Amino acid sequence: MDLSFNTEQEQLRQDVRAFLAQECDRAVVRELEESELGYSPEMWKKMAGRGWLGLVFPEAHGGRGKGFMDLVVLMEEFGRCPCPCPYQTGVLQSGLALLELGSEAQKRDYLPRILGGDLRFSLCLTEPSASYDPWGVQVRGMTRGESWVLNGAKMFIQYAASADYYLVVARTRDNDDDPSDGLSLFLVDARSDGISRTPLVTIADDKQCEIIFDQVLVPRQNLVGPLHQAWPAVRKVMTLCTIAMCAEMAGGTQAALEYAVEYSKHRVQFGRPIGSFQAIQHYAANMLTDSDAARLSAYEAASLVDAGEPYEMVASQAKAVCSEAYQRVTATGHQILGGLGFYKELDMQLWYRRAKAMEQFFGDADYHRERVAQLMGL
Amino acid sequence: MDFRFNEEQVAFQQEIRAFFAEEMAPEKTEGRGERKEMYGYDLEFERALRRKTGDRGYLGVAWPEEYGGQAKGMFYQAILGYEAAYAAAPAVDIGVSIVAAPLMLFGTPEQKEFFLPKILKGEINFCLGYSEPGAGSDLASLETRAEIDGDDFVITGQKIFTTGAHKADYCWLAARTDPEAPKHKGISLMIVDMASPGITPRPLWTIAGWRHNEMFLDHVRVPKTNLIGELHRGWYQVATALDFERSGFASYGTAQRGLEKLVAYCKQHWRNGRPLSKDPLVRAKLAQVAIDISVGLRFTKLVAWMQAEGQVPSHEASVNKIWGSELLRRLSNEGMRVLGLYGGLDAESPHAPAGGWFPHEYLHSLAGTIGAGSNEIQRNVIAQRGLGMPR
Ligand SMILES: Cc1cc2nc3c(=O)[nH]c(=O)nc-3n(C[C@H](O)[C@H](O)[C@H](O)COP(=O)(O)OP(=O)(O)OC[C@H]3O[C@@H](n4cnc5c(N)ncnc54)[C@H](O)[C@@H]3O)c2cc1C
Repeated sequence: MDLSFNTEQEQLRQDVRAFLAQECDRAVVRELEESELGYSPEMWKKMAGRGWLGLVFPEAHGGRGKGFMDLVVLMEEFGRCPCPCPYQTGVLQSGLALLELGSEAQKRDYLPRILGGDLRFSLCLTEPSASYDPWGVQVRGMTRGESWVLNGAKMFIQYAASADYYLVVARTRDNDDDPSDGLSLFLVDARSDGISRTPLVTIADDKQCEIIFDQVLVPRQNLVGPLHQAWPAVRKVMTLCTIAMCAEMAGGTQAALEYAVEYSKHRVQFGRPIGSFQAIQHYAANMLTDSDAARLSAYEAASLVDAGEPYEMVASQAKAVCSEAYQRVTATGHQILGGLGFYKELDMQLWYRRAKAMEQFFGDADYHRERVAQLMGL
Repeated sequence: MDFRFNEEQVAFQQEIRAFFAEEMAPEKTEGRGERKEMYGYDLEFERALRRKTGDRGYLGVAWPEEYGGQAKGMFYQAILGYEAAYAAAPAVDIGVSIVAAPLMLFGTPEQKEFFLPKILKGEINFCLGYSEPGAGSDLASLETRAEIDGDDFVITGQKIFTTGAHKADYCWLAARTDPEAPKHKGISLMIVDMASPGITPRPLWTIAGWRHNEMFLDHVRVPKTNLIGELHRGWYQVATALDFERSGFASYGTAQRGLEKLVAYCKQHWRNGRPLSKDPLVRAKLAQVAIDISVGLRFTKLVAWMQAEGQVPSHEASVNKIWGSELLRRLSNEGMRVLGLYGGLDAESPHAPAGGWFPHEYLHSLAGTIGAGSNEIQRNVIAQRGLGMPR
């Protein structure tokens, strides 16, 4: 057992924290939220230059070849900041899906450019069904001559408006007994004819879109991975991304706690700092408990990935824990801030809104409790 | 970062699990149940098991070699505590969990030589004489007096909630030696032979049915050589000892035992045309308990790891204490809900699910959030020590 970060990881944390303090203070966060793109391409390029986009990808594909514990550090810092950028969908979901399923040529053509910050991707899994399970995928992929044709709607796709490519999970064959059979992954140029996008305004300003695919032609060679059998790899990628998101949530939880405690030390009522009131102290104690639970659960999940051990159970435990902890901590944080916290000038709202959004991504606590129940053999 | 036990630790866990499974097998526990005792077994059984556990060397698994231990470190202590609780085996007494560590730190060579080997072998057991009717959370206001008379202390006063006073060989006692000094600065720690004249434990019956005690001390003579550490410095030593106590690992063993009982019941029993385990509400409750146990084990590992690294856990131990004690309350409460009307049946009833574990734990778990420093006091510690919030 070793519950410490290694020196390289500690260094990475310092570097990322210093970088974000410089490039992405809370005023910038607010600006980016309001901007059309939702993130800063210049900052994105700088992060690519520091090797952070390629952190967990093999060196052969332009990555840095680091482990998931390193990624945890980066994600925690993104969560603290909180840094608005397409890391989840653009780098992790899309990059890992390509890594898992792509041909050598596809990896060679796209991965280095994704990790270098030159190409933007969005992974398109969720649909109007709002499900992360195979039955929820109804977008159709059919052959027509030398091409594939895609039809249907994707929903809740982050940063889709600015993406160059979509990786689209589509149904290529029906199997009523097993909806996970018959799913395939396609690489689609975002500018193809027949694609239309409608922005979705959401609680966390994460630039989601509804995307309609209407007779969209996709070249034959743009199938990524085995026909009909993409699901196991997609599922794996989603689980890995869930772990990364847990770390991001843990970082946000920790920052929200620190923000509230700091506020309580300076706000004076009845002639004393409100942080000396026991009601406030006990809120804070509960917040710290939640925050540590979130942090340690995310850490354990990531450490299992690095150790090559099964991680599904702990990933689901972690997502259930982090979903509730982040929400509770930010809500209690608002209580500590009093009336002032209700206004945009204070920072708690940045985490409070993200807590809710991230709770929904990859399934909320109820969803993951059910996964835990299944994995327990119930 | 790595949360896994290493191979040797896993092997130890398997070994000790097998040991307790054998010692707690139905053939051995048959007829030994005693509900008036906290652990639920008669005192002979308890003593014999403690000795056997001591003989195997398990009690000193984490102790330094100079005291006869195996020096294997805190993870082994955690595993021992967890497995004993998982088996509900009355094997790890206050002597091992609370007294030994401060005795090693503050005791004289003679005290260590006399007491440590006996604790190690499970030959003697202790009770803890801290709380008084007027001194609970505010322990430093305790009033039991220890006056110096020649080579002895003469102790007079009353203790309360003294777990196991009726069966203990020794008491690890806090008493006031300087009534003039500020309250934290006039307390001393000492070991009292429970066979001394003037000690009277009287029963207090808990709502969980087992015997607790109040303990009266009337001019009890204790040799000055039984003083632990420095005179009047007892408060600071108590604080150290409590930090060891709070790092308790046992709750999750108990919780895992309860969860397994509940899961087994839910798989075997049907309601509304399906096994309880297929009911979405029940599944969510069972999964949540499993998740809460997993979180608790992470907290425990953090505390044990910090200790193994030579760091002193403070608020981390408090977080763990709150989590474990509140988890047992939630588990017993949710368990009784899942069991429905059967949930309230006492162990005596042949119809009682899981041997009446749930209603018993529902009562018993009330103590966990109060004893060893109430959860409110723990939250004060977290806020003030952990987060630096003002007093
Ligand atoms: C099963 C059991 C076994 C025990 N075994 C032992 C033993 O072996 N030896 C021994 O010496 N003692 C033992 N105790 C006593 C235990 O340590 C005390 O019960 C505990 O310290 C609380 O003291 P109290 O019961 O007097 O409650 P009080 O101190 O009167 O507390 C009552 C309530 O007030 C709250 N409160 C008190 N002070 C504060 C504060 N500053 N801030 C916020 N809330 C506060 C408490 O949290 C609690 O909710 C045992 C107790 C139990 C229940």
